[in-house]
Amino acid sequence: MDKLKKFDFQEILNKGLVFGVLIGLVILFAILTGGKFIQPSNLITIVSQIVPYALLGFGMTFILITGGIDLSVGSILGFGGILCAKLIIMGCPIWLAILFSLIAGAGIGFINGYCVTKLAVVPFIVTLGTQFAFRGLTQLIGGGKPVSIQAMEDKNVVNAFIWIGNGEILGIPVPIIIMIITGIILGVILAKTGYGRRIYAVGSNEEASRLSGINVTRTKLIAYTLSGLTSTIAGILLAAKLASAQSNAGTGYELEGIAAAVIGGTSVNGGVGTILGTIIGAFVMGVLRNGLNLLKVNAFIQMIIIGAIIVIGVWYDTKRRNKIKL
Amino acid sequence: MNKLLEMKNITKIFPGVKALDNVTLDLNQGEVHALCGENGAGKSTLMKILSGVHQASEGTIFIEGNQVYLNGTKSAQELGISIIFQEFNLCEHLSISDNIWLDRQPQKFGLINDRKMHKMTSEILKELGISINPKTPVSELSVAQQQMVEIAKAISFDSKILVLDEPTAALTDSEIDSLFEVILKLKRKGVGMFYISHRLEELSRITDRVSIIRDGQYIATKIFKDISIDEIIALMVGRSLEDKYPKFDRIIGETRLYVKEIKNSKIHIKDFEVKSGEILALAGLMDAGRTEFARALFGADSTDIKDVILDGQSVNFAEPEKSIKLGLGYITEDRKKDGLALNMSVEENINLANIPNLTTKGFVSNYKAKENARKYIENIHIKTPSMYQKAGNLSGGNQQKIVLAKWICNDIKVLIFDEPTRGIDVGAKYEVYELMNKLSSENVAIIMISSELPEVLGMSDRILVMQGGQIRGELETKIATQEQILNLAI
Repeated sequence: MDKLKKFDFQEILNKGLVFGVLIGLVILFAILTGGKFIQPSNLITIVSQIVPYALLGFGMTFILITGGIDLSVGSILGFGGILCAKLIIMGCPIWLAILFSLIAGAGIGFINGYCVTKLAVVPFIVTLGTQFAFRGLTQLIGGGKPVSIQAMEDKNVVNAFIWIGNGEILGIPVPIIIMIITGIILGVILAKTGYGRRIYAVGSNEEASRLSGINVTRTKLIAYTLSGLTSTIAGILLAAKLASAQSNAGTGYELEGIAAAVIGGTSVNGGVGTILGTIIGAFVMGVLRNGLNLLKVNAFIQMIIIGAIIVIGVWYDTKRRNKIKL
Repeated sequence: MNKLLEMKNITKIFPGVKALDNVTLDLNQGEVHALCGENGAGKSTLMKILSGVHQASEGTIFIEGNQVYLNGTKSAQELGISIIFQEFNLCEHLSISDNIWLDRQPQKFGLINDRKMHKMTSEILKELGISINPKTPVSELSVAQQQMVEIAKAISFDSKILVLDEPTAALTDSEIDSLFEVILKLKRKGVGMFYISHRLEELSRITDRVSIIRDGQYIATKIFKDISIDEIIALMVGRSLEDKYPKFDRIIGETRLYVKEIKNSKIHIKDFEVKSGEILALAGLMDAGRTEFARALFGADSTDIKDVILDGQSVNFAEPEKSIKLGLGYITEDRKKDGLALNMSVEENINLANIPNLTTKGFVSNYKAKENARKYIENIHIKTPSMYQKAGNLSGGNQQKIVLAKWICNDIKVLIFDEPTRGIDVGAKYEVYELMNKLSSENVAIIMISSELPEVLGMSDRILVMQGGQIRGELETKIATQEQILNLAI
């Protein structure tokens, strides 16, 4: 068993590499911006910016590990935000509005899971379809207009809702705290529970898992439901931050979520990935954007750089995986 | 006889492993040269060097006396060397012709000349004595026919040297017959062939010489007529196996599993029973419906009628999940496809069917998981550098042991073994047989699906022969012969 340590070291090295890249970027930007980059206020800004992407990335990680994909998370984000705002406007207490939105968001994720498992349509197609459908649903609820909380008469309600998106506890913005708590819970589920093991098993070899008594349908359904849930959390936080829910909120965010997961080492072929990796991936994206902004790099060039990083990340991942002879 | 090929002092070093150590081998024109050795002995590596997939670290290769350098599969192909791997390299959706002439289709005005291509294919197929329309997509062919396409492809390259890696592993007996006819035809044409197979019994029909490799080292080359199978095995394992099948007196008890009736579109079985401590063999040809029966019973495939009694109680094996809880296990035929999660660790694979037992309140106990894995790695001698090694990196025999461990660690009452020793070496086979005996002594009822008749006769207490999805007959192993089984099977 003496080779055990060596193997673990290899794993740490692989994960450490992305983390190393992140630290390298931070140091690089710190120097290039003359320290502006690592001022606490800027760092908080970065983390606040990545909150929605990380949350979408968490759910995406679960789904990618099962070997699926979820293109509808951006639409679910929009749906969650607008539903919550609409309910509050209609006089529903904030906590109830949030609870109801979360349940609805999870339910909408469940629909994705149902189509993937019971109807056996490939995830790409299912969620491509629901991306449209859920966006339509969102527009329908919002009547094609933003739903503004700010305009409400009861300022107590307005302030309470805004606090969720902008308030601080011990100097840390509430959305960041919520992201961290969600990340820890999902990370523990993935790494430590029987469900976590099942999800990796299903992504590694679905048929072998089924024949080993793993309920593949349930495992996938839970993953899609969780993705619906984290997307809705992101949607509510975004609406609370702006005190207004936009019916086009989250458009294109699914790609940010996928990118965060993939840069963090999650494989689109399934079976591989971690929540910690996804957080690091989201940070890499956030740090790049912010740093390049501070350096006044053209926004179009930023896109090119981020695109290149995604491809390089996956290329490296594939190369690493090919070392296993199958 | 003309010497076609010489491989001299071939050494191959992979990072950390010496896969081949100074191996020397030759091949004559029109000869079938069998390569024997346990899994991981280095046969495949040697053949991959010959076909240009790997490059030798040291050593030289001569073809018809000229030294050659094989720095890729293309250069090997140009020199007339073709290899047919266990897993075929065919494009399923393309036609037979397109596969054979892939990337070198005959052309006319820069466009592919389909008519000419199909005609060229027909000629080759005719030469091989096969009558299939060259336009047929490969996906519509049987495994045996696909193999013929691979051979036809090799012929189309005018190959002088052909390597066949486990060509009969997935073939029925009659398909093997026609394969051997083709091999004999090629022999008469002067093609030299290396032939790798774990089924030593079949070698006698085609083999001229046999070479044995063990642990990356060359052991011996013998004229096949002058050596017995037992001697070959002894050379392969480096010790003499007294018997290929461990002797064991099984104590057979009450009926554990009784299938009153089970039916779906492929099979219809009635009055099937297996007793406590018994090994019941299911014999038959490839498409007899044995695996289909196992899958239907296990709940992996749907059924129209299913009336099953386990230990005197009516049970519903609706889903694998449910069947396992009730005490039924199923070791699949193809461990890579549906037995193992290859890129997961040995530990995770051993515990794959055991997750409920490791979890309390939803959380997996790392301690329990590791202890369980360690126990089986030690008890059944799974050779792995660590339990965190990925299952895909182990040899076939060790992979099969992982699959076994997966089921043994569950409290299993009835266990179905589908081709328990396919593609694993003699030493590992023996260990698998011993494990089967041990399980039977713990009152597990075993259903063994096997296409190897010596295994059926060597390991079982009772034999059921299937054909066309139904049971055709029952034989008492003690007095059964291979001929009797075959008569029922065909």
